[in-house]
Amino acid sequence: MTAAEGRYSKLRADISLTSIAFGNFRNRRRQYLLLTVAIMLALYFVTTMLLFASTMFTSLRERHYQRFGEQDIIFFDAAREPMTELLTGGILTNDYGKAAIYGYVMPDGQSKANGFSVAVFDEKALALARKDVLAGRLPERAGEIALEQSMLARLRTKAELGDTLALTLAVPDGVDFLDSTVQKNYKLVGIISDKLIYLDEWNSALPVYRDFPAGILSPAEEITAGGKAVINVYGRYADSSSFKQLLDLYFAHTEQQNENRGLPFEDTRYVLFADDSSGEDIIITYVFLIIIVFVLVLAACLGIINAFTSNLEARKQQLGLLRAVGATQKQLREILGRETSLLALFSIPLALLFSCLTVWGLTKAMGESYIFRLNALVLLGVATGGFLCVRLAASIPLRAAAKVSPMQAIRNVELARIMRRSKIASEQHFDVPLLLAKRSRTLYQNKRLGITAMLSVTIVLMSLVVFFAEPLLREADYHYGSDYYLRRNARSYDWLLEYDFHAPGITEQDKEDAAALFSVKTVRGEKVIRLKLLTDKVTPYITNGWNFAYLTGAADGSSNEAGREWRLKEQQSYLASKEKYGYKQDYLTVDCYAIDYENIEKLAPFVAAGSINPEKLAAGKEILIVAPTKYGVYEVQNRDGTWSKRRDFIIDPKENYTEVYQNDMFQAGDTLTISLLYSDAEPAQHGSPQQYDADGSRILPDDVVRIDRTVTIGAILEMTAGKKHLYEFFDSFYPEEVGALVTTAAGLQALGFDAPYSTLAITLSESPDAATEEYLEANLSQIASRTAGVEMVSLVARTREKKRIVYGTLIAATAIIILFFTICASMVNNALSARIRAGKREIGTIRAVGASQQVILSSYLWQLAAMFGWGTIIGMTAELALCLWLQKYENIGLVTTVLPTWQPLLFAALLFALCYLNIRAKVKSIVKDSIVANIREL
Amino acid sequence: MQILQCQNLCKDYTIGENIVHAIRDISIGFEQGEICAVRGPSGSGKSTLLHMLGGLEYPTSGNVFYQNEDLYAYNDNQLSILRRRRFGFVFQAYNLVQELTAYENILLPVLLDKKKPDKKYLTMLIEILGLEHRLDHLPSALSGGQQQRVAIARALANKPAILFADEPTGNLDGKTGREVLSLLKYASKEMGVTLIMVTHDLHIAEQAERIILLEDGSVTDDSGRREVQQIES
Ligand SMILES: Nc1ncnc2c1ncn2[C@@H]1O[C@H](COP(=O)(O)OP(=O)(O)OP(=O)(O)O)[C@@H](O)[C@H]1O
Ligand SMILES: [Mg+2]
Repeated sequence: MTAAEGRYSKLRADISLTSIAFGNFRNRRRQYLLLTVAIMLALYFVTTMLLFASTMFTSLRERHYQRFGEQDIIFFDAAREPMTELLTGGILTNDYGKAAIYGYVMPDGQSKANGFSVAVFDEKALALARKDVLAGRLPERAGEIALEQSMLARLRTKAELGDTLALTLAVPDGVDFLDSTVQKNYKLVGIISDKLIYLDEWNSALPVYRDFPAGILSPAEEITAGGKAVINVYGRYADSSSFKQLLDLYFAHTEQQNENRGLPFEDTRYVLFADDSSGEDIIITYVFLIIIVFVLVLAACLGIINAFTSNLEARKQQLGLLRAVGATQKQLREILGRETSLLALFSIPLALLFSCLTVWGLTKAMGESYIFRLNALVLLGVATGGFLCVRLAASIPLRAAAKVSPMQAIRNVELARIMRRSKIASEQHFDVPLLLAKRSRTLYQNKRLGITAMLSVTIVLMSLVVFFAEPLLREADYHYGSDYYLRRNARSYDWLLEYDFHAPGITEQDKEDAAALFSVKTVRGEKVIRLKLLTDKVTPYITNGWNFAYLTGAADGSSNEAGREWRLKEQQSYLASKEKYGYKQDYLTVDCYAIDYENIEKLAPFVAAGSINPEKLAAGKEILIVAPTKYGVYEVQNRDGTWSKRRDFIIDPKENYTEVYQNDMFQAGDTLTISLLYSDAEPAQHGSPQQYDADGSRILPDDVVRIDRTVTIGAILEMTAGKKHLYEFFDSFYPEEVGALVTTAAGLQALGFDAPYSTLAITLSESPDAATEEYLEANLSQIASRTAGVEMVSLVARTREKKRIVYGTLIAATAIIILFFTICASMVNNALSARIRAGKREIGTIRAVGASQQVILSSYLWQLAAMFGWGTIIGMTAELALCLWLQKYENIGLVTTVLPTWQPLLFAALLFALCYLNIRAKVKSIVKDSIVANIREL
Repeated sequence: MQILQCQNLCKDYTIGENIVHAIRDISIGFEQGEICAVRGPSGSGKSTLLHMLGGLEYPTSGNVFYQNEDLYAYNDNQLSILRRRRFGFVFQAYNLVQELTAYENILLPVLLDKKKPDKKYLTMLIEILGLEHRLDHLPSALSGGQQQRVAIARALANKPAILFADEPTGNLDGKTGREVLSLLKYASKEMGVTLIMVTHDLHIAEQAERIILLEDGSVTDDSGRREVQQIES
């Protein structure tokens, strides 16, 4: 044969094969439609999940940037040692921005504590810090200023753009501040987006004073004579650098070896999972999402493989024929491959389009703070991944199909081969439907594998949804008891001194202003102050409390050498403080909660001894103390292998406690000396109010005030009462510490310990409409921003958000379950339908031999049962194991959830019934034809 | 009394506009124990007639009576029982159940009837058909002739009253063909089985007591009734 002839024959074969393939497209339109839909659905779900995740990611990141700025880190006073070394240490990129702080605004003219700093920003710093202009412009000339929105409230001014502000400034001089403050007039030219109030919350646990300049001066501005600007640096980490490395470098350059004393820089980098107060929910949602995407990809591939297999199965005879006509394997693969590619090219863009539309709609529905971003990477990834998946999924059955020799296809030798392998022997006596089913199971086993896998996965998924639904719904229904909080940032525990006694806080005026707002029903105020209980007797009952280690200097089991040393230093400092401040007895530093008069009687169920007498509390004669009758201590192993102590205030008879402590310290009716030891000293410029000397001992300030009072213990309170926890009755954070004191606001005043409010809990008369909500939020955040470190928390929004997340998750989960349900059903259906179609002739034969319709139906029923049996068993086992594991090891508050048992069974039964009905209809329609019609068909 | 009769039997196939008259108004009857061959050119309607007589295909018009009972007045269940107890069918294309072994295929009608298989009888059948060594094979592992013999064994397994056979010897060599035929005849004489078979083979047809000639859906000759010749096995 000449080359030309070869080319000619190939060409001709091509044409005829292509036309056959096109004929296929036409004749098998229904099958191809199904295939397209299957591919589309699979890709659609995967893309939607990924796009949604990426949109959430970018939305959360954008929100982070809007609140905190785009910088990864802020250096305070970067001209100082060792900051210059850190700057050049290669951890930051070189294009960092600088802000030169020219002064600290003192709103009341005397104290910096409630103020903010003003600075000249360079271009880079402006961009990184995201000082977005909301109104007006940035200052251009000397004497102009732009302020963050909330700072106007902090200044308690109603000034508008163009007005002149008279500010009292403390001017830094390189070491501290100039001796006298200066008065300066600035023209307000711009309002910029809030950063300070968010950054203040950022690391709220540390009582550290931070400078995040909230006022912008023009570059033309000059610092007051004699002053020296403090330089802040806004930077980003160089690739492969992190906060950890920076810390190491910092520790290498200083004597400081841990973070306890505060750091001269703040890491504000966006971290996906540590964004919100509801971080844990987000983690769970994301883990869930990732698992689902993974399972979806798997399911999608399985679905596609299954669809192709049954498609090719049905065409086997035809392929054999093509081979008989002279098509080579390669040609067959080429033609079929081309078909697949066409199919993929058609379904992928459609799937992507639908996904984009869905996610767009979803983000629109979720509210303004979520921004829809087309993630090209995701789209491209899914498109190529999807294409490869389809080709790969198709290539497996394609390869097998193309290998088929003509006679094989016609005579089905494959069966004989499997039969020989599985050593089937004739049955002597058999039930016909059962035997037929059994044989099909052996002979078509590989086709069942996918179905079993899919069914198990579906059962596991659906059980997980059932398992999580209850606690999620409970979470969604949780009511906070109030609608808004104005809340002072949580303080870190310090056994030595109270620093905030005279610090600016939420005032009586703030409370009145909040109460005067439209639709506000009640405003509950709560104050927290740090007091000392003086005692002669110190027992393990109290020293085992978290906060009282300073009494004994004992370190807990997980501490390393440095930790133990630190604790001993603490004890020495404590003894020195007793000496210095004249305490003859030991003192226990505890928090005293002053709660509302109306609320105090609600604590009655917690009373273990004595009684609550509101009048005596208000008169400052009595006080309540939290001292559970007993508590048990047990140890749990952390994931990193170390052990932590936990406390149970309800003794669980099943728990193996290392020790149970009885209250041997406090009795109702005892007199108690309580002591307030406070300091009004302003925190040093760049650090915590807790000062240490070079060898790590606490510096004991001189200018402290001590006030002692004697009171009687009115009642002893338990930590729990039935299912209620004591902390639910406090609006401020209550860390469940033994020894905490409780009184009324009047009581605190009578004792002479009156302090600003730490929390206002606001309840509305009715649930607000959108306009009211906006009004309330605006006004309440205005009140909040009057004071540094006070945040407004909208529980209305949080509840709504929670509900939305829960219901959204459940709806998405249900949608996925439905998808899986359909994939499962269609896989079972595909497998059995293909068998029924291929077996039409056989149905005819068996009928001709005398089998009734019932026999045929029950044969398929058995096959169906076999398909479901293993899937259900495996799925149920996996599901129960997973749920038990979750219950046991993952402490996410699911302990009360019952294991899903009947739900997955019901689900399997439903699916079974559905498939059976479908098959019944198919068999019926075959049986309706005459036997000869059945047999002739092919 | 004739065991099987048909009256004015017609079968039309409609394909689009065209109507194929496969069978045109046939009325014939068969005696119990009769051996009857149906001959005719390809496409003349032999298989169609056989299918209708055997209760496998509904006629367009006309009736088939088995012991004076109208076959097509039975419901599906009754017809199924009739097929597995009284009729045996050997198809032109064998039609074995692909998932069952040869032996299981043979046993099929017996077990569908939930009867205990008559081991002695079955062993004899299998030996005569020479299938002893192929019993555990799936049909796809059998030759055409072997498949055909399994189909014959299956048809005879339930000791039917009537055996319909569409080209039962079509795939067999001369010797085996003769053996199979003698088996069929033996069954007919010993058990009184009525044998209705379609065949192209003149030699085979000549063994029958009666030859029906079919042309274009009509019986053109039903005169060839004579004594059965004895064939030596
Ligand atoms: N399902 C059908 N649809 C349409 N026409 C059919 C169908 N079955 C049979 N025919 C037609 O009916 C006629 C008789 O067919 P039948 O199978 O009975 O012929 P036959 O005599 O058995 O032929 P052969 O000797 O080749 O087996 C033929 O012309 C055939 O084309
Ligand atoms: Mg025929």
